[in-house]
Amino acid sequence: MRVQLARLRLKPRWVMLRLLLAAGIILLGVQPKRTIADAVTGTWTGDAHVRGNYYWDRSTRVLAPEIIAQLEAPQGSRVRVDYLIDSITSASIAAGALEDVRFTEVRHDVDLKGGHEFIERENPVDLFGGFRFSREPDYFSFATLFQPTLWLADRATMFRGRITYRHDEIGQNFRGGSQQRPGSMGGTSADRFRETLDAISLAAGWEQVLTRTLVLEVGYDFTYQWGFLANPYRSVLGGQRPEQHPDQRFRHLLFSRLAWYIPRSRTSLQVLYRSYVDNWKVSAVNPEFRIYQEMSPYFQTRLRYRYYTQTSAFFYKSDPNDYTFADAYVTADPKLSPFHVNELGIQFLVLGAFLEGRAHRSVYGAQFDISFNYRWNTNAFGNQVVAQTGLRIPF
Amino acid sequence: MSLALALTLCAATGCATVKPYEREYLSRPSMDLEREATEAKFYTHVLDAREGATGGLGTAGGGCGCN
Repeated sequence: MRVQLARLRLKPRWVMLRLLLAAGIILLGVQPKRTIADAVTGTWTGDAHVRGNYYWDRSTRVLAPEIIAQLEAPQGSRVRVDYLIDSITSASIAAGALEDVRFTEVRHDVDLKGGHEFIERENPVDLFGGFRFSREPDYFSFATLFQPTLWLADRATMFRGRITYRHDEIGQNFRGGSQQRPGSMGGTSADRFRETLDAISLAAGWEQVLTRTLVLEVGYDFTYQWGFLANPYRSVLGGQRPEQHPDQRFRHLLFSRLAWYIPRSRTSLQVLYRSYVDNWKVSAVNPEFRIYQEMSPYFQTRLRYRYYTQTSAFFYKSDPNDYTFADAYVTADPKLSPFHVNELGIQFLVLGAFLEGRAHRSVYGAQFDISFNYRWNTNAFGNQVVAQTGLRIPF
Repeated sequence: MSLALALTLCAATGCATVKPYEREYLSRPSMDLEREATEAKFYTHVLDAREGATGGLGTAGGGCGCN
């Protein structure tokens, strides 16, 4: 009966999801017909983008193909649909899981966004927003976003705001096939675990053209999360006590980017810097250096070095067996430990423009990228690899 | 510190004096991080799942690995 009620509770969510997906499909299906009626240029532009994403560490593999379609109208409107599916295989060992079982699960991620740019008192304004859904067997996430942008001084100055709301529903699966709830949680698989997590994020950014070759961007990002902030699969005291985190988190982040183009060598140098603090006493700094080198008009490389370091949360203990049952908060989360990451990455970008005049526009307008990043990580997750490849085709 | 740096650089260089036709170099693909937004989406998701600090890179999240 309880299971049936839980299923019934899911129904309104799926009705809403289907309605929004249908709206997106209808929007995509109907809008291109207007291209025929466009009197200014007579054309819409757009592109299709296929990506392959891969993540590896000693306990987890993620393979995530992704497809994106984007349409832009001559009148300044645009729509974008992004679908990603990732297959996660994890042994869960590094995360201190309740069940030490190898499992594979699939996550579906759908992003529907749209925007419109117009002129207000001689200054361009862009209003952008959308929805995002992420679903996997034990987790559902819904987010909505609104992002206004204002350009001043012939687009030399840009101000951008962003507000995001996110609602997550967290479940728990018995990945080992056991009918008994792991650890000391009690109960059986029929007792459905259901928790929620909500978050609201406010961000403001300023981008400024400083010279003919120099651009600066600074911003601030505040996030407030409330609800179940732990992981239902992690435990301490040898599996006797499930992870328990505070149910509120206030996160503050400052970020900046300075980009400098050197015409003589066709090189772009970029420095990015983030500093972070939250009410769990986690603080972090994260400088990053990037070098983009145009090897030819059709071939570009990117080298990057990123350093990340953070302090631990106030309730973190390096040995999960040092906790007691009297502790208010306990964690086995490696993300809350003090650690640092050194990361090196390389990317190659090839533009199809060298085929102009010899191939169809969708070929000479295409671009292909491939990247590889290696992360030397000092916490329990160990070293990591992020590799990506993508092909963008205009139409 | 970022804001102070921004204001100092802005004051030193004289903001908004660069005309649109003078921004040839700034329109190079390598100067535009927006072009990398699609690539950044998955990467940001990885950072959310593996680092304690999030934000400043756009929206991500979703999934037990992130908690």
